[in-house]
Amino acid sequence: MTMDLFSSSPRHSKDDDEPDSSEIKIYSVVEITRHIKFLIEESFPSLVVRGEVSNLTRHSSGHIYFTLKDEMAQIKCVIWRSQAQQMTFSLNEGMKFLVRGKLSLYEKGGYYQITVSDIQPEGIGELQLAFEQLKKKLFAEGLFSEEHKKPIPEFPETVGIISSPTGAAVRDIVSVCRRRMPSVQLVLAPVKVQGDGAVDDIVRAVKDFDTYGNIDVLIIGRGGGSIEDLWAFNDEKVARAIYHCSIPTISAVGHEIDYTIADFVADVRAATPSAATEMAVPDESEVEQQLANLRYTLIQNMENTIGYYRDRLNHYEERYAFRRPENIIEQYRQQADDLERRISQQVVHCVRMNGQNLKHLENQLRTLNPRNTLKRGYTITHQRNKVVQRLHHLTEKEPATIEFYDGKSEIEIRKNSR
Amino acid sequence: MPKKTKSEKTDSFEHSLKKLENIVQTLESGETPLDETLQKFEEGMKLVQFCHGKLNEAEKKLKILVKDKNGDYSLKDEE
Repeated sequence: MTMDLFSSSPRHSKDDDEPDSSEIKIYSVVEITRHIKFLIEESFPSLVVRGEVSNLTRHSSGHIYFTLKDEMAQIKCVIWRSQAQQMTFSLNEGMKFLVRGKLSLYEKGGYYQITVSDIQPEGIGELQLAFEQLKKKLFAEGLFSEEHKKPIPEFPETVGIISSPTGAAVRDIVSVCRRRMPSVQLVLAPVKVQGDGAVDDIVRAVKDFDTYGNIDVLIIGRGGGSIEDLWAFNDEKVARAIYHCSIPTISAVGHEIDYTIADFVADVRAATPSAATEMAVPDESEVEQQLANLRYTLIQNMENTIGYYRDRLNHYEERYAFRRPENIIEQYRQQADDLERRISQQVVHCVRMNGQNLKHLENQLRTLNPRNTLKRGYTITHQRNKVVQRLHHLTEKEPATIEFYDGKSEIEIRKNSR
Repeated sequence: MPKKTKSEKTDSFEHSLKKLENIVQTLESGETPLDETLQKFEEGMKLVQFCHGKLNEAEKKLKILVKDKNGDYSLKDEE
């Protein structure tokens, strides 16, 4: 470069802004840079550029720097910290984005760049991307893994609900619970389920229930809505709160087709709040049936056991050992009978014998009867109503009676002689 | 969510039903002495009654979890 080049060049330019001037304007670097800056920034106050992200740098200041490129060219981009904090998803190299912003010139670097005011993934929605990214991240951390899943208790006495107090979800949960098992206690932590404050509400409610403790199972959910409406349930803070909650949780967000991060991190995902309640609360009639079966089995068992022991008892009773006393008694009884028989025989014998004796004695007696002697011709003398056996008992001059076999005779005793 | 199973409440329906099932199982295995069978039978019937009672408990209202300034929790009826 020589001064010649500069001094001669204006002459060729006839329609120069300053045709009369032979002087060439000499810029300082900052002057020309500012000039360019002005031109650029005035021409493109706002623009949208499509391209692929590369050379991604997240500075510790919080600003994000990257290059947006296509096959032919590239352009530097910056996302200031305040903007970066509001992003729901994070940038990945190689992904295509639509970048909205202003073209600006960075004076110190001498290059132009896009100051990004909004960036959206191309093809899928921004929220969808955020969802996929958080899902991937938490999956990698193991928040969804099966080994962390707690079993849902079979018979909860108290069910916690985190939902909007005015939403359809709570109404559904209450009505399903009433139908299945009205004795279950339902406790609601009223929260906003969408919009500002929803995430904080839900996180606080999860922690409150966990601290409170007297909850057997927790249902976290809301009725259906757009992906924006359900967004609180895709929040990382909500996901971590659920993960750290010691109460078994059932997520029930939206409809059948809606999947949220909360669904993946919860112990069980239910398609709807009603379905969640059916999982949490058993059906009373089924439990009654189960109870009736157990009761029947219990009684059956008791009867069987009693029957078994009764049989054994009967068996033992029939053994000889148990029958011995009976035998002995019978033998004694028989012996007694025998003795009785013998005694009575003896008596009969005795009586009979005595009867014979008696007759014999009677005969003997009969033969000894003095009247028999009278038969043979002897007489008995009575005086003064006494039998006179000896002569000297007989008193003279007195009457006496002589008894014959066939009669008596009154006599007078005249004189006794010896 | 990391597993941190809470210690089971001993008077809970679940606990009672489990106990009842265990008793039935024990008895079904046979070989329990008569005294024990009787005792278990009585216990079992009591559990049956208890469980029925639990099921028959009156319909409960929806309660709201309330945290006061001291950080203590209480339940109040839904308005």
